[in-house]
Amino acid sequence: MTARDTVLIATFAALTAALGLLPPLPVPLIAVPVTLQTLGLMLAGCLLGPRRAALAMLLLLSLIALGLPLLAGGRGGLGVFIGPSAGFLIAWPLGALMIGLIARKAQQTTLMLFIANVCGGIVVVYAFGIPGIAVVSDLPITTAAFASAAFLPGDLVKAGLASVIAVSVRRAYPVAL
Amino acid sequence: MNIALDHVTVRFQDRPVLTNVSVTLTENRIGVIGDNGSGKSTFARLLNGLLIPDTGAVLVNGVSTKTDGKEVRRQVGFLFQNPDNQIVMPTVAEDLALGLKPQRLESEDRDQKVAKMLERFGLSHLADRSAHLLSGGEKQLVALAGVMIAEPDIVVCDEPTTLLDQRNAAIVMSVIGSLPCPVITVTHHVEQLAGFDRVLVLADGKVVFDGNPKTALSFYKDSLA
Amino acid sequence: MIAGLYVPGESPLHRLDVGVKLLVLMALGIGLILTKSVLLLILVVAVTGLLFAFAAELGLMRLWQTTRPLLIWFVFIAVAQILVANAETAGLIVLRLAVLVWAAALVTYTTRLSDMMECLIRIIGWLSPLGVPPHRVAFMIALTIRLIPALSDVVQDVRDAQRARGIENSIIASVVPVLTRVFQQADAMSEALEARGYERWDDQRNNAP
Repeated sequence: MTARDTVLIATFAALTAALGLLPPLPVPLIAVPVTLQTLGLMLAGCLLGPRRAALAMLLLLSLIALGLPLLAGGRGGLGVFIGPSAGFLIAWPLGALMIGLIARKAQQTTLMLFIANVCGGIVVVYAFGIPGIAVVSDLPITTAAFASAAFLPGDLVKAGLASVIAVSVRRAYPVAL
Repeated sequence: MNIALDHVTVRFQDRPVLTNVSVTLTENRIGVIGDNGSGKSTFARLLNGLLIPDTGAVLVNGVSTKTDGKEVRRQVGFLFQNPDNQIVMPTVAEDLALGLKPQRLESEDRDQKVAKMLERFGLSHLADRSAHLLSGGEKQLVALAGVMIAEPDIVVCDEPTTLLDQRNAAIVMSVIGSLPCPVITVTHHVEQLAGFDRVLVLADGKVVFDGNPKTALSFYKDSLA
Repeated sequence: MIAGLYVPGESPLHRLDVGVKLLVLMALGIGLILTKSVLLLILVVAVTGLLFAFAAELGLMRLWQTTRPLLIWFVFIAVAQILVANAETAGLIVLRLAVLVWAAALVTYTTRLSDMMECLIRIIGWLSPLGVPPHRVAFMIALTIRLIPALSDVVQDVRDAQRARGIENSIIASVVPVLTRVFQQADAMSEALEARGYERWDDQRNNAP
């Protein structure tokens, strides 16, 4: 791993943590607050490539597990890996990996990156998050899915935002994926 | 110290940044001065192999930066313009300790060396302070202490005071002036030239003057006129 | 620098070895999944709560703060469980979740970041045959801790600038230059890291000066 890989991984772990410090965005029509933290996940995937993005998320999760309050709302510690959102968190590295893999293969258009963000940042994350809720709360998976649907509009908005941002950043500052 | 640049040319995307530069540096205090874009930052980065010339060679005490950059970087310490990018650990003491990492010391030896270096730079009171919360001048001194703890044979400073106010710039320059090893300082502050043994003036990627500070100063001022 | 969740103290729980604490937490997790007795769970809840608030001297306030973000989940789980199963199952699951979260938080609150880190590095040490060098992981953790306040400032600046201009929907316009700057800084930092001997970290001792 080069010095540059090391710094970029740490930078995006820190950036994603910093995004969690912002107050949640109020999204019209739905009551669920939307934190900007998964925006960090998506940007990492789009801009760093699969390996570095996944490691950045893994690094962030390690810091949270060690006891730093880096999740949105100032949460952290081992408890967050036991609660209902544990599945979502654990999926972050895999989601970032998936976005990175698609972003590397596909053309760097807003649409392709949006698809990548939806696949990695939503499909993969929910694929772990929903069973996570089901296991923790011992409920049928459909009920868990129903509960998670409230977050979907916000996540779609973030996937769009991340794609537009990533395309512009890649144009302004080309980085090897 | 013997740093030899032999017919060095560096290009960025076909634009020449340095053209056919040949100099041998042996003096204890060397200044490199020039305007923005004159190639002086490039010149500095050649000296520790952060940059490899497109043509020509750079030899540091006989070691080529191209074939053995690692060894060159062990010998040549580098102080950057912006200490925020150079300080990589959360606290001051931890950051200094990082410079000792290649030596794999026992933790007591390491802590002792860190404490000694902090004392030498008058930074002992900042040992456990968050690097993020230091003033600009303090940060640059911490960065320099982090360079010196690795015991380099030569130190290259790339515009070390550009981001500092006058008072802090003077403090940092006086600390740099007192270093026990040869120092090559890249700057665009002409008033800093006085203490140097030799001054190179760069313009458009070429060495346009090479001599003592007094003549360099008048040469540089004439070129501005 | 960002503060960890560790709450300084001298209690027996603070002094307990972090490895022991983590093993007990794991054992508790497995044990709770196997138990079906609400009565036993109530007992465990009481004991964990007492340990948390009094033995570890963390106080009832902090116990409440730990529980609060989960309340909405507890309500959701309870309602859903009563609908699909019965009140007893609902109680069982909510109590189980509460205990586990309290116990995990208890470990986090009573263990220094540096001790946690040492433990993590030891665990990664077991993985070093797989090519994960523990000292590099330790460095990356430290580097991230170093970078968080700097990047928080950057993020905060963007927000303030947006507020000043009174346009909330210009996220894209302000984030793009910020990210470009972040990349430039990362490049400058990796250059500095190389100048500071990054490539010599893995050298053998006898190659060092």
